[in-house]
Amino acid sequence: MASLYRKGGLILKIAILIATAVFVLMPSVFLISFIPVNWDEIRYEIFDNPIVGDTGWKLIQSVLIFSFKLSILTALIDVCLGIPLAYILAYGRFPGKSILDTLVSLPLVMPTSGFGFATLISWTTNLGLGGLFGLKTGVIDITSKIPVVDIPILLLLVHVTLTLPYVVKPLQARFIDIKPSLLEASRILGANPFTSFRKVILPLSLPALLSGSIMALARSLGETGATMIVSGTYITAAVAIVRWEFEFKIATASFLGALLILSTWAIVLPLEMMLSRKGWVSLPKILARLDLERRVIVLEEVLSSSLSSIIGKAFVVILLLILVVLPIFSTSYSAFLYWGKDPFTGKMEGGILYQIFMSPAGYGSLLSRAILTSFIVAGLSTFLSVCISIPLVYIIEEYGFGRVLRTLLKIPLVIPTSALGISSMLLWGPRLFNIVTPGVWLITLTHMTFSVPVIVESIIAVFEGSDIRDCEDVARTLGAKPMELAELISIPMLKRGILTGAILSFTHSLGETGATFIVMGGDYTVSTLVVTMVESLAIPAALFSTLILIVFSLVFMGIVKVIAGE
Amino acid sequence: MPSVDIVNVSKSFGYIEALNRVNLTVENGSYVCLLGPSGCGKTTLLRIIAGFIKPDEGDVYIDGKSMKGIPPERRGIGFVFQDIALFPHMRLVDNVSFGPEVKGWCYKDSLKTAIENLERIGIHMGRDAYPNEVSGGIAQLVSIARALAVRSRLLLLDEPLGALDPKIRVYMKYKLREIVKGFGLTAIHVTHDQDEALSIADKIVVMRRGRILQTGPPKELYWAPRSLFVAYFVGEANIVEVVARCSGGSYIADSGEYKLICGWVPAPIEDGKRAILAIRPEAFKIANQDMDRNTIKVEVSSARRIGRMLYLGIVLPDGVHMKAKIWSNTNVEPGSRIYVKVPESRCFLYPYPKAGLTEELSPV
Ligand SMILES: Nc1ncnc2c1ncn2[C@@H]1O[C@H](COP(=O)(O)OP(=O)(O)O)[C@@H](O)[C@H]1O
Ligand SMILES: [Mg+2]
Repeated sequence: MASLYRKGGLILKIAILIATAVFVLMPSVFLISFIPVNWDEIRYEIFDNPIVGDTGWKLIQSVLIFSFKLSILTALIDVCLGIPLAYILAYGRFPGKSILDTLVSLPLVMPTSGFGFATLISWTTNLGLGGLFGLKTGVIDITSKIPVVDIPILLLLVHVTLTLPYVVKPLQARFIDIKPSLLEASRILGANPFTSFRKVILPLSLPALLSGSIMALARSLGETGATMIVSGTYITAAVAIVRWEFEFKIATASFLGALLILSTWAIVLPLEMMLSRKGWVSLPKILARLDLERRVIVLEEVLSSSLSSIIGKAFVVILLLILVVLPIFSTSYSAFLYWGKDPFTGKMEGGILYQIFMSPAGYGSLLSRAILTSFIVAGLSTFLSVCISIPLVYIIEEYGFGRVLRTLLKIPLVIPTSALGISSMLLWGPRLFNIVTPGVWLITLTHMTFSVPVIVESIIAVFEGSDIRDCEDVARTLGAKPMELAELISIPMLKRGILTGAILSFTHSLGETGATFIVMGGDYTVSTLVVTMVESLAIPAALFSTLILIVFSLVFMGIVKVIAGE
Repeated sequence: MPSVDIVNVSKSFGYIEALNRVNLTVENGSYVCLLGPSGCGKTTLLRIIAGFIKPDEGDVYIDGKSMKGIPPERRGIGFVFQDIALFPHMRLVDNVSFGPEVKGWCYKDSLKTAIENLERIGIHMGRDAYPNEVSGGIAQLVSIARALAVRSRLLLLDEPLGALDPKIRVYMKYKLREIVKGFGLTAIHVTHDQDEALSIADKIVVMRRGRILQTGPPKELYWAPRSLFVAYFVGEANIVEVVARCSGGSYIADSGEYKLICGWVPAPIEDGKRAILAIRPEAFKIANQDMDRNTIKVEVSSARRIGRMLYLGIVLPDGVHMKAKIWSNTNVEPGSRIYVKVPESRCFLYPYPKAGLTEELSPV
């Protein structure tokens, strides 16, 4: 009997590892193999086309440069805003702090295409900020751009908002982790709050800050949903992949995807390895040696005054209100205005009621189908991912190669999703397995690729913070069989991690746009449908769908809060 | 050298009343121990003095100056933390030069002061090590050097020996006093260990449930505890329930089998009421016969000798077991019957606690 269990266990473990390799790891690397295998095709289409020459390559270069410019700038701004925000959330004590905390994380569960549209409304029309200031137009135009770097303001705003939590959350956790006595020691030795931050807190959280900003950079690089809506005439690499795939320039799209995956690795992997050693860095004492310390401290004294700390707090709060809350309100307000008719022309055909519910060829049936598709895909991919993730966590925790496996699982989280989509399509479709064609099933498979890592990380967080191993050992000595062990000890103890992970993966799947566009065939999800509606200028329909997405994500956020507070 | 006055300080955390109208004066140059069970508010009081938290009411004066609104960095206090709290990302010497640096001293002076202070405290080598590379004892010494490097004259120590091994603790506690006296500092040292307090303090402040119960030199706390809790918590005490007899201004503890005249009765007790008699083990003396006052015949249940000190377990006539610690050359065998005498001034009598004995003696 016992040996049967052991054999069964081994078979299960191998099956899980194979599943992980096929569903999670292969899609993230398969695209790389496209370059050597299809080199001729690539050369023909990109470098050496008889008609357009190397225009393809020039195009690729320009979108890559633009993308990197945008993501680096985004990450830099994230760092500048994220540090004070994380500091306030970690150390501040003021009414409404938990609301602020929720606002920061909201973009994590918000479907990006919906959020992009909401931001577009609130900045470029008089239904948002413009109306607030009594203007007839929006405060900025979709084409307004920052002069020197040549990046559209709106695009930058959206990227900053969507990636900010990736910097704030780990940094906030790290700040809270730092022993309060270290900060107190610094203060009592004579350092003002600002100096204490520079000399004590910052060096102790620099690794967290670095990995957070790299994550933000990777996210910005891969952002598709909102970008397609607000980028105007500009085009980022991630969006280019989707567009070119639609134009059947498969080789160009795949080549760009592979380049994106490779460059993401080149940034993320070395850093992951470097950072895993210790949690802090010791900085050289340059200022002190140059005897500049004194002057810097005088400056920091001013910055530490209670007035400037109040100004800082107010700034951060207002910023979050503008970036996160305003789009939600503008959308709701606009949906209200557009409900019966177009408020500008007065035409019924321009109202939500008509476009969604009455028009015979309208968006109503499309939307309801898309919602159904979204939920089927999200539910199915989450369920399958949970089934893989639970045993996978045990394997990671039990074996030496677990650490490597865990690092590998981070890959799908950092590579641009549109690259992942094209990789998935080629892997399951014509180039390798040839068993799944674009549609609901391929979306599900693709979403599993990032769902498994999300769920695994959530479970591991609970696993490592509990004494589940000891409890299992006790139960075993009391005579529990493996199945009973799972049912009575492991699953209940890991419940919180599993639930949180499942909800995160569900919302991720619901909001995913980049990969979904490529693998969906005719099966629209809500997120992709919003983009399509905006592109075909069906504003009322887009408003209504965005509102639905926002409501969904608020509900999920609430559920996550309840589970976390349990 | 600074003095500290704590006036009417109260502090609550939600429903928990951590400090309740605390008044305390710490004189220039004295070594004061705040002693009390865990959770009685010692750390809170120390953190209020340092300015890490604000009191709900009351104020702290250092050298007669009110500390209201003055942040920690401008109070000129040295603080030694229970968890040592050396900056993990700085070498030991950088830890010590941190204070001078942030006070705006030039680089050379900071470094020089750091090295001087390390040397004064007995650390001559390994200055370039990181905190996680040295033992807890060394780390705590460095943290003291760090606190002293900015020339603070007032040193606050929050259970500074708590994180150390028992062996090193004994060495360190005398070292601490030596440092404080050698540098001419005023020190407030928090501890829950009465041995530690009794052996190094000039003055002990006993706290319980956010209040100060008694303040005084170790000897006074030991031989004149004003409450049953202090008698029980500071040092050791045999405790037994008796009936109080009050006649002609003197009190007698009546157990039914024996009577003891009590010389230390801090609170009035009515004649014939229940009371608690407390006797320190060191209070017993061996007597030759029961001619003397306050002499009882007891049975020896156990006897152990270390040097000239006799540790006895004795059974009183009413069957109550007590511990005795007697400075004597006489040999005593278990099972034998002897006479013991307790001087009147060493018999403590307290009213029976209203909330019950267990509640009164409970450490929390
Ligand atoms: N920051 C805090 N928040 C809530 N309760 C606290 C806080 N600090 C201390 N307390 C409570 O105040 C009481 C006194 O704590 P403390 O001063 O640390 O006691 P001690 O140092 O004597 O052990 C305890 O009941 C403790 O739980
Ligand atoms: Mg304490």
